[in-house]
Order: sequence, then C-alpha cells, then structure tokens
Amino acid sequence: MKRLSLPPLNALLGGLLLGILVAAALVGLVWTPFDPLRINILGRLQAPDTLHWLGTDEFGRDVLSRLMDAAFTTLSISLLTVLAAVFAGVWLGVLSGYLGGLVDRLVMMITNTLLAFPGILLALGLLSVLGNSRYGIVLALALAYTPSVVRIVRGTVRSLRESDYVEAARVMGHSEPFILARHILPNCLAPLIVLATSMLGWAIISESALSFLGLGVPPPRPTWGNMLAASRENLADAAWLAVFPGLCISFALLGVNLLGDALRDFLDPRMKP
Amino acid sequence: MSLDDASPLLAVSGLTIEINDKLVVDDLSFAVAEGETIAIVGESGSGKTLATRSLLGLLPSGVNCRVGSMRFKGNDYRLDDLEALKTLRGHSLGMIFQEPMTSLNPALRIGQQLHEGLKLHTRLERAERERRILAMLERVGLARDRALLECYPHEFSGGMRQRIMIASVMLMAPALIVADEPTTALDAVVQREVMETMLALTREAGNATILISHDLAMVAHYASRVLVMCQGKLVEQGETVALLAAPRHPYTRKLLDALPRRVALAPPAPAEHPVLALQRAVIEYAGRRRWFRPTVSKRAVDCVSLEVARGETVALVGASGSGKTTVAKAIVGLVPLHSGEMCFDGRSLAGMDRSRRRTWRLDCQMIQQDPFSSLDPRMRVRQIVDEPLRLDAALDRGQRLARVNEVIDEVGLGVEFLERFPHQLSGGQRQRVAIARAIARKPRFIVADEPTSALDMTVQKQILTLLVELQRRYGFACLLITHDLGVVEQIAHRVLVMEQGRIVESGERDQVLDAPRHAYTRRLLMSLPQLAARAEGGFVLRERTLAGEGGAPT
Repeated sequence: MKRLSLPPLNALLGGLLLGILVAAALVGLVWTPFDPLRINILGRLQAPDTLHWLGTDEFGRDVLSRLMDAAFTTLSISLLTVLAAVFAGVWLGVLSGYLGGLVDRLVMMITNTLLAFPGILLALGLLSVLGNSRYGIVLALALAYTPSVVRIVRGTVRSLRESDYVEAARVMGHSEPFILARHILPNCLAPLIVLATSMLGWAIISESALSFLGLGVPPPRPTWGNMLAASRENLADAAWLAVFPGLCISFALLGVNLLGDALRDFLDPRMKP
Repeated sequence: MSLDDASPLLAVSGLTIEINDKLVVDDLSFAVAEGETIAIVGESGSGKTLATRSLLGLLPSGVNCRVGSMRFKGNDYRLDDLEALKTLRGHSLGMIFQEPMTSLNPALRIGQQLHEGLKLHTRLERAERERRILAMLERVGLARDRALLECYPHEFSGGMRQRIMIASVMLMAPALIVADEPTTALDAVVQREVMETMLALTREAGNATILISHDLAMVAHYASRVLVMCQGKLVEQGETVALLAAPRHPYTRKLLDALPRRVALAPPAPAEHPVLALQRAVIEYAGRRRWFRPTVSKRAVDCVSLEVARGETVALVGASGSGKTTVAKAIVGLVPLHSGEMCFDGRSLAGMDRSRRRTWRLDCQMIQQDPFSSLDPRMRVRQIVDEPLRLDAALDRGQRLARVNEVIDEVGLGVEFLERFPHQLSGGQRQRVAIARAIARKPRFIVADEPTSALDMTVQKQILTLLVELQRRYGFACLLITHDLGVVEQIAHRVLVMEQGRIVESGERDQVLDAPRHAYTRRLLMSLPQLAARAEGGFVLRERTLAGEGGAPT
C-alpha cells in the first residue's frame, strides 16, 4: 500500500536544521567541550581556533559550550510555551465554539482584550510582576499566544459544528463528546499545526528578545538572546560573538517553519493523490 | 439549420484538450448554424464543459488546448491563441455559468455588474445603458424597476440570480451563447421557467445557443440537434427527434435508459402500525432577538401529518423553502417539534422513556443530499461505515468488521474501497458509501434528503435502483425528500406535496402524478420533461397530459 519515496525537500531541510540544534541541546545537557560558565580572563575574546571552535567571549568563556547550553534553554522554553498555549487555547476555543452563547461571549471578550496588546509587551508586563524565572517566561509567553489559538480553534469548530458529516454523526446517535473528539478536533488539526509551528518560531524570537532586553533567564545562564546582547560591546573586534548566536536563532526559525509546512501536507489526507 | 448550410455561424474542428498527457477532449468537430440551438450531452467528466470553455479561451490553468481551430462568423481562430479568443468574449460569444450563487460578484450591486459589460463593449451614455438594462431585466422576467439595480446578489433567489446572469449576457447581444447547465442548481419549477425565458429570448434575438447538460430529456425539448459526448469523444450527433427515435451508440442508449420511468413497485405488506407517524406537527424557528420588542418566530412547518409504513417509500415533494427538509430534520431529532406528536410503531415519542427513545434514534437513519460534504474527509471508508456500528454494544470488533465488509458489498462497492478516503471517490461512489453508512445498522426507518440531486442522470438511476433493492432486502420504511418528480416516479409508493409549510396534496403515486388536484402539483408536473418510449424502440417527445381541466399551470 505505502510507497517508499524520498520525503519532500522542505521536510528534509527543516528536519536537518532543527535536528542539529536539538541534538546539540541534548548533548549539551550532559557534555560540553568546556564549562559554559567557567571564566578565563587570560583567554578572553579569542577568535575561533582549533581549541575553541567558535572562539571565546569577553570573559573567556567558550562560545560553543555556551551556545549548546543556551540551545536547551531556548528550545525548551519555546516548546513549553507553545504546548501550554495550544493546550489552553484548544480547550477554550472548543468550549467557546461548540457551546456558543454566554461562554462564547465571555471567552471572546477576554481573548479580544488580550489580543489588543502586542504579545511581547504583554509578556514584558507579566515578567516584571512574575520575576524572570524560566517558568515565568513560559507563563508570560503562553498567555500572550493563547488568544490566537482560541481564535483559530473557535472559528474552525463553529464551521465544523454545522457541517453535514457532524449532522450525520448526530443522526447516528453519537454523543456530543464523541463527535467532538472524532470529527471536530481532528479536522481542526491542520490549521492548528500550521499555527503551532509558526508560534514555535515566534516563541524562539520572543524568548531571545526578552533575554536580549535582560528579562530572560537570569545570567550567568547563557541564552542566544543574552549572548547577542553581550556581543554588542565588542562587535567591532569580535564579530563571531554576534554571528553565531544570530545564526542559531535564524536556523532554528527556518527549521521550524520548513518542518511545519511539511507536517501540514503530511497530516492532510486530501493532499495525497 | 443543418450541417451542410453554406457557412455555419461556428465550425469547430479537431478540438483536442489534454491534462497531464491524458486526452480529455479528443478530436472534436461540430458546427452551429445561425440562430440554431444545439445541445451537448454527457456525464460529468465527458469533457463537454472543457470543450465549450476552450471556445472562449476560458480553460482552467493547467489545462491546455494544443490542437484545434474554429471558424466563427467567417473568421478563422486557433484555439490556443488566447488573445484572439479574448476579443470575441462578451459581444460575440457569451457564457452562462452553472452556479448562479457564485457567478455574480457578491460585493457589487447588480446594477454595477450589468453596466460593466456595456461599458466595456459599447460607447453608450450612462442613461442609455440604464434604459437598455431595465428593458432587459423586464425581458428576463424581473420588474422594470430602478431599485433592483441597487440590490446585491444575495437579495435574490437562485432563479432570479440566474435571470440576472442571463440578462447580463444577453445585453451584449452575442451571436452565440454557451449555457453550461444553466438550470441544474435550481428547483424543477424554476428550472423550467428560467429555461423558457432564456430560449424565448435567444430565439427572438436570433442568437445561436449551445446548451450543455447531463439531462437528455430536458435539452431535447429545446435543442434542434443533440451531440452526445462520452469520455472526450463525440459518439453520436443528429437531429433531436431522429436521435431519440433511433439512438445508435450504446452510450446514447444508456443515457436514455437512465431517464426516469415509472416502475411498478410491490405494495408494502399491510401492518398494524406505521413505522413512523407524524401528527399535526408544527415547527418554528426562533426569530431574531431584539431589544424591547417581542421575538417573532417563523413557522417553517405548519400542521403536517404523515405516515410511513414498513417497506414503503413516501415522497415529500416541494420547492426549496417549502419546509420539507425541516420535516426531515425534526424526524431524525435535529430540530425540536413546537407542537404535534411523533409516533414510532404506534407509540408516542413523548411518552417513551429514555432508553426506548434512544432505540428509536438508533433505528432511524438519514441519507444526506450532498455526498461531497456528508463524509468526514479525514476518515477512511472503513471507518465511516463502521461509525454507526460502534453504538451497537452487541457487536465486537470482528463482527463489526464483517458487517462493514458485507454492507460495502451490498451497495455495490468492493472491499478494495475500504481503505480509501472520500476525496478519492466519485460522487456516485460517495453516495454509495453514505448509503452503506445509513443501512449498516439495519435501521427500520430511513430519511433520504434529496439523495440524488447532486448526481448525474445515469448515476442517479443507479443509486435509486440500489435504494429500491435495499428496501426490498431490509424492508425499511423510507421518507424521500425531493423536488424532482422524476425520482418520485421511480421509487415512491405514495406522494405528499408540500408548499409553504403545509401539505397541499397527498395520495398514491399514480393518482397524484396522473391526476393532480392542486395547482402547485400541476406546475411541478408540467416542469418535468417527458420522453415516451415508442413501441418500435427509441423515444419521442411528449407533452405531459393531465387528467382534469386542461394542463395549464395556474
């Protein structure tokens, strides 16, 4: 039945980029070439060479080790953010779209209010209250992203609720929860996955931006964002300090988006001939 | 008006269209004389639409016409020369599309849309354009009213929109009009009216017309010649009367066989109670809620009573908006009854306890109108047919699978279809899957809501035959909702005619169809084209004769 064929180019490239970063993050958990936090004043601002592959920063810390350590921080925070936003958003969206009425109005009122603030501003405000811990960031970003999930899910549910095959399932005698789980949620999946992958991209950017502004995971823990921020002082004579974290952010984004496209095509049976 | 006229208005030769190296129109040649009406008939996928679209250079992207030429009004055109064809559109070649709901731009007032063509092709003053537009609106059967021009398309019914579409094409006075299934999306009665209007108009103006349809009986009334297309090839053509009388090609014969014909049906066995009885049912829809004003609800169904016995098919006939679908929805429990009583096996539903009501729900299934939207696109055929069986606690996995295999076989699909997704099936196959889903649990009552109106004539026939056969096997009672009396002729025992929420006529099929009493039933019947079989084979056109005082619609 199934044909063996090469996966599409976007899946291949996206998987490769993201795979390398995830592997680096996981390896970084147990082993890094150097201790990412160890300061070596004598070996500061060394250009990339055979010992320090990606050079050292203004305190003589190994950039490669710091990037690996940061990869885990950034990727885990972004992933947790998206999972939390999707979880909360799907629940609220389904309730609001399926039940309608007062629940719908209440949820949409809150959603619209949250959507009126730029996401990063909302996160900034929350972080100043919550304090900048790892979970504080997840909570703040998830809250900023949940409204878009609610919107998408609610809209899809509302149109599916009236569809002929949902009506058919009702006539068959299936219960409402069964119809929700079997007909409505799976058909929400395609738009949701597209949204979730682009959200993962935004989350990586936002986390880096927060770190860049000094509201991310507190130093000395490295993140791609705070490494980029620190590189500004020595940009003229140590460009590698800005280039490598920047590349990491770009590659992560590119990988996530390519993989998201491929995933959506794969999950939609209508895309198969 | 025949092929050997010295110079026909349009002569197409060698028209060939390919999609991905597959021939969809194969070396098609035909001619249309000045003022002549011809018909191109074939199933969906026969290439009739693509062939005529290519004359206007309107092929969808990805479809290319490489070979072919046409001679139009004495000039030669290559059919791959899109720029040249574009100059013909509008004032020389007009096209009326199938779907009046989507062929008018919903964001523009119809006045703007009617002005558009005249502005492009003529140098008339605005006042003169408006004068012509208003005259044309009157001609197509709408009022000569300036206020109409300020309306948006959604403010008109389907039939009126198609009239507006016809007006916009006729305003250009094209020499040739291509009408692609112009009335397929409309109700039977409206269909007839729109068709009459269109052809009266073209005859008067002397335009030639190409009618495209899958309904041979319908076009036979209007076209002087018929071309039959099958899988991209022109298989037969000829004068309508001659072609009907002696069809030569097997495909033409198949098309003619698919025409609705009255079949004698075995009467249902007498039973003590009808399976379903509806007594004085009233259904209301809540109106819009307003501040400081009482809500006015709309009565969609008013005091409807009906009974369906085991093994019997009762047809509920009416125009769109007559409330027939609302009745169906109430019976399957999607819409509550406002008042009245629903009885199942002689017992009132209101008096039933929970579990018995549940049993009735499970015993009552529905076949929906549009097989393209009634199947979950993410599920395989196996899962779709299995779905109703999941509610039967008496069946385990293996028994369910066995039943799925059995049922898919009974609806004429093989087990090889089980792993397919709906989008991999044709319309007829999808409707078979929907029927399999409906009968899987061996229900005692089935509501079929226009089960064939989205299908071609030949497929329609197959589906109806299948329903009759399944009813013989399972003995379910069936309520058939339709606006098409052709369907009624083939499978119904009794007929109920509905108009504006009320039942206006009821009786045995033969009685209602041969001696209708109510004016609306007469109009419905008159709109049904009829071909009569001749004793020596073939068909002749026949005007329907009705018993009683004449046949004139009132």
